[in-house]
Amino acid sequence: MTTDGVADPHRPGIGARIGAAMPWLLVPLIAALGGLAMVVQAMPGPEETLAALLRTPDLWADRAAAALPAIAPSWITLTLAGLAMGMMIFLMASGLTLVFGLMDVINFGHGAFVSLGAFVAVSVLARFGGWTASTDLALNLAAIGLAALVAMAVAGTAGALFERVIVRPAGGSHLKQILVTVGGLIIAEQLIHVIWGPAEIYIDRPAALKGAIVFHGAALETYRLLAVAAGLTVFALLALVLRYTRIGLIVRAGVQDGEMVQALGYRLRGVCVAVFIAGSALAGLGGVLWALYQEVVTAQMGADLMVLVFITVIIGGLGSVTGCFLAALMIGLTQNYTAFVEPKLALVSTIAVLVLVLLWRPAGMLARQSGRMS
Amino acid sequence: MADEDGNGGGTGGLRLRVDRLAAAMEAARARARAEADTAPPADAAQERRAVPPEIAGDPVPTSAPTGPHGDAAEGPGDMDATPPDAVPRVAPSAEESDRSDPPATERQVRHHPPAAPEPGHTRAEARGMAPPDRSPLLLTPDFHLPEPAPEPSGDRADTRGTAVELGDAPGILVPAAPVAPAPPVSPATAAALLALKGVATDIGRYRILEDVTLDVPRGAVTMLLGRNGAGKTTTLRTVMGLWRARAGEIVLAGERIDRWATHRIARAGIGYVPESMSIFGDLTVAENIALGARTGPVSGDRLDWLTGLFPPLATFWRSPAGNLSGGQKQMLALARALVERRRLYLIDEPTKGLAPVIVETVVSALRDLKLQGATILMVEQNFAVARALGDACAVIDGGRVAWSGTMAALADDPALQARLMGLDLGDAA
Repeated sequence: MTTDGVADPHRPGIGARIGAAMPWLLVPLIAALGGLAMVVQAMPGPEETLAALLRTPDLWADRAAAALPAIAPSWITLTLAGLAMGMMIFLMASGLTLVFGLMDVINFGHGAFVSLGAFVAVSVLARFGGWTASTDLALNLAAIGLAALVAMAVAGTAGALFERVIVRPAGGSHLKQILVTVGGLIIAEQLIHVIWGPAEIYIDRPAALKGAIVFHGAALETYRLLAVAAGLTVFALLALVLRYTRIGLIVRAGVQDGEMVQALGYRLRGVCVAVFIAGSALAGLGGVLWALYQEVVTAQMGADLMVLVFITVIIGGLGSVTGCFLAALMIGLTQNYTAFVEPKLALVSTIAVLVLVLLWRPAGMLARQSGRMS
Repeated sequence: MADEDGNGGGTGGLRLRVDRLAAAMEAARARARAEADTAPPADAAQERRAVPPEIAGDPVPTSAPTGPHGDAAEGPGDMDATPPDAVPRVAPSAEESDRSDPPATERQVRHHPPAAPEPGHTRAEARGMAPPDRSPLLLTPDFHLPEPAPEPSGDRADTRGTAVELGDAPGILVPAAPVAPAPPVSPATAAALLALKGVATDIGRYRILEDVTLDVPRGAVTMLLGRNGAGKTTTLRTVMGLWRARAGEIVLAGERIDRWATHRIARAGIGYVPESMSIFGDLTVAENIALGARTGPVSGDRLDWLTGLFPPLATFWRSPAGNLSGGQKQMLALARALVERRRLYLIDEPTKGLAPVIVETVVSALRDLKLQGATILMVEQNFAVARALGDACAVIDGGRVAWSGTMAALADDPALQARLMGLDLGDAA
């Protein structure tokens, strides 16, 4: 009912509401399924196979009850690892999805900003070796914060240059965009080789972020907690900007129908450039966190991550930041649980999630409605 | 992200504005509820009826209850009704025509007692004005004209000219369509706000516009007619800069705009309602309206006026626009263009694919806009609607203006209609 007491014919039914909430429910569902898989794997006894146990249902309850306490700490650890990985993927993918939605640009060179951010962070952290070697958490965080700020500034500047020199001349042709942005990625990798050398660089996490907190027997890595906090903060900021500011409104409208936004008097070109720069800077931030997570940087790391990033953007729905966020969490969790239960299936599991989601929603979980189709 | 492009607002600004809109909406709803509680419900729908029944194909009323002086609109439900001739009829000046404020005149006239006409005369005639145009309006060429209704002793029950109060706010009237349209504006005498001179536009390899020369006079509604594919939509899109003119000039108020970017053209004071409506489906109705108000907050009066024209927008104010029906989307597209005063409105087939009852609402709104002296260039396939609203007219064929003149001239000449558009309205024309 509306406030007027009139039945609202547009109010969605219960099915539609569940459908709308389903993308949010998928994240805890995957976490639950991951826990279930871990329990099932731990259920067989020392001399017993899983197949044999599955043939005797009477034993299932007892074995599950016995396995649950043993597996719970691992599940918590893996869940945190999956969330942290998801948050870092989200940071890299959020800019890409907005750039695609707003500018209709498929930027295969996005990975260059990830690599660039990582290498810039390595240089900054090397200059502040005293801060990172200290066991003072505040100094460690200051070093990482400074590295992140510089990396975002450099990646954002590189993004502005990339947009002006490579993306804009390609125009609206997707084939041209793919070709020139892949070319741009190769050039960026070679420039990194020129500046930082061709060898991979190993880095240490700051001292206070190397350890873990033990919570009910589960080891929670401090750095992963930091990554989760950083991802949540960026997501919240993006959501607030998109939801409550005029420029956010223009971006959301522009993702649906840029032409109409211009016809309403808004200069979308400037907004597009700003979004491209912001997306590049966020990719740089993702590169910083990923570098410290892996403790090694290479010029190809961005390109390697692009597979996961594109899968995330497609699952989430092109142009949707929230969809991108949820998809990244789903990918992170799925990869970590699968790597624990059956490591050989870790990569396949990501593709499986992609296929299942696209079978369910071919345009992605939260694909934008097109204004022109209204 | 700083907005350096003059896109307006900053963090929090939008929220305030949307909240202000929401507060105004709530007030309007409360007023509407209060009115609904006090007014006899049977007449409410009639009062809000802004377009004569003929336009929707409804049967024409053959008689109507009359008041003590032969007035139709003096029953219990018509306490707030304004006499049909109370709405402004004089074409505004050029300066006024650039400002499409909610009509202040309508607000004032409500407080004047209606003048009683002599028996047998209409109210307009009693004031020495031209008798109202009651020629029937047709939706489709094959619609058969019903027999004219016998004229009662006074005004017949025609609500076209009544003004409807939105809620109980004093002075806030939503004027319905006038009994008599604004005096026709001769394109030859009125100053052209927009002029197209030899405009040619290509889309890809195809030449869509060959040589479009067209003047859009100030304060008038210019209809752009023609068969499908003639170039009407392309003309509007070319004016908006959405497609570039290959040749020719487009002049708005003395300034050439054919090389301007679309956003600059819009900022020059052009409101555009595209054929596809281009509603932002993921945004709420309120956010769609907020996007239309680029330069600043929307006044409560303006909002009341808009929601009076399009009541469903108030009902679904916070709903995603993608959930609206086709007619409601069209209302939203119009409201988004009307939320700010514009010098010129480009409206592309606003009645396309709409149910007759929605066509009534849309035509009523456009008539209201016209009464305010707005300058409109409108593409329309529905000849009845074009005739009801248009002052001037241009017929496009093969990317050229094949004919231009007054709407009345085209409407009164069946042979010309048949020659230009293949229309055969028979006796109805």
